[in-house]
Amino acid sequence: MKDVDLDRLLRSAARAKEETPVEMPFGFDTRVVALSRRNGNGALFGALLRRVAFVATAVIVLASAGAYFEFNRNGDVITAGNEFAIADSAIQDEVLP
Amino acid sequence: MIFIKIFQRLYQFSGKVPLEHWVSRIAVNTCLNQIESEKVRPELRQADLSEEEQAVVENLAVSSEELAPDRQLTSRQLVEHLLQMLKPIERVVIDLLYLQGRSVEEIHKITGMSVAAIKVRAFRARQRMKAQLEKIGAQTTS
Repeated sequence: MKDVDLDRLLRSAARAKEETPVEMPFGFDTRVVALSRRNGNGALFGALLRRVAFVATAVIVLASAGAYFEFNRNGDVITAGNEFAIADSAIQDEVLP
Repeated sequence: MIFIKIFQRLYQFSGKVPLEHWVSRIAVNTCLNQIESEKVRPELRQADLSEEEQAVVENLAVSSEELAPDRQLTSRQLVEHLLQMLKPIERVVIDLLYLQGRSVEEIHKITGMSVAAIKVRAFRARQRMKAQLEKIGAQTTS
């Protein structure tokens, strides 16, 4: 084996692009979840999911209540604005010739 | 590899220590084990190579032409095998110098090693790689 042979090998290797997988191996997530469940962490995942669901429900309820409150308040303002406008129009009609 | 180990050993986590400490312990142990395993550097044998890699070795021995483009990936794999036989610092030098095509000056800036040290390490690494290739070539032709 000569130096030139090693150089040829290294040149050829340098031209090859490194092919690294950019995604998870097939079924990796399933295997992780299965392993975790087998190790008795299923209850942990269940508790986590319940907590997430509870927090999500609380956020939805709060957001809905806030939206309802805001909607009603805007309705009052609009109604009051209309009443003032009618009264103002009536006063204008009475006072002005 | 560290994340896989963490998943595999989730059941060992007692919760008595903070999770960060437990994870960092696994990371440190994994790295130490890797360094230990690299120190062994067993000799490369013909049986460790695939048929394509053996064909590349044969091709190098019998022909003086450049390797065909469809052999590039196999060449890369063969070089990776040869690199495993080297010391970590030699591996870095060969990788930067020949596979990434960097100059000695650039390697000096990247690694902080002196130019002379880079050249010496590259020379020694080449000698080792050549010796390994010769051994494999002898096994292949016999």
